[in-house]
Amino acid sequence: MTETISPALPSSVELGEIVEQVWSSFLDGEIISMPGEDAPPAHNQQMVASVSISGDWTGHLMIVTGKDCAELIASNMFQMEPDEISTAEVADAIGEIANMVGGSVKGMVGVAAALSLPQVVLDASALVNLDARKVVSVSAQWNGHPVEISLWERSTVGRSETARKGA
Amino acid sequence: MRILVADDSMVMRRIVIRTMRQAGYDVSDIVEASDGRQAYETVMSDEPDLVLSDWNMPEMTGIESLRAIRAAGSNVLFGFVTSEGSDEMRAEATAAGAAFLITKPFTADTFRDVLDAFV
Repeated sequence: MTETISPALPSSVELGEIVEQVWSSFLDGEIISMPGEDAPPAHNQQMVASVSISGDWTGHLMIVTGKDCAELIASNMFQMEPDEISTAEVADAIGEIANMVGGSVKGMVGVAAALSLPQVVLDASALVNLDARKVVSVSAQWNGHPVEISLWERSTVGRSETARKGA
Repeated sequence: MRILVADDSMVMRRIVIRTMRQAGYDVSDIVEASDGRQAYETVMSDEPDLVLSDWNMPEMTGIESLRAIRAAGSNVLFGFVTSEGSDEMRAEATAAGAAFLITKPFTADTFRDVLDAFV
């Protein structure tokens, strides 16, 4: 198995700045990041949006928040009332937030890599990431809701990626 | 002006259209596509004047869609609106015939700064 290389990953302050830029562009109300602090657990159903970065550095960018916050994010982005928002629209909105933050992170990491399409889990009571470790995280508050943004580094590359690199 | 907005995210298509309106452009004639293949087919069938396309989409990516559009003989004004904007991607976009690349997140000012030269 091949170890992933360790490029210059963003610091928690830089990750917080990326998040603040995305929030200020598309969402009402300031997101207040608290770099280095652990986020309190979401009070209700935990929602997770992630994108993967695969290549010379491999890992995931994850955004975790509660159902109420995710619905508010979708409501803001669609400019619709929260009770008009469907589950699919919530998934679309938080997935797109992960996509934008992940794209900026990938640019900052600066290695040859591909960004995946976003994946969203709408009710994650417990999320275990078996093959990755959290390397950077930002805890934040938006409209009173906790939001955690984290960057996970995969410890190994998959077999198909190893084969491609060797080709 | 007919504008094709191609993005697999519905909310991002809404935001792109809203931002075009905020930037002062006419958005009365909009067509949408939710993947690269649909974008290609819509360019062929609807002949838009401008395409604003995401890069990373299912079925066909934005760059694959652009190459297919150019291969089919269309010279439609085409720009990317994407979450990534590395030098390599910009060069690839230009080589394939894109006029510009706007990175997400963006504002109405960003759209005006880039689009005023073309629209």
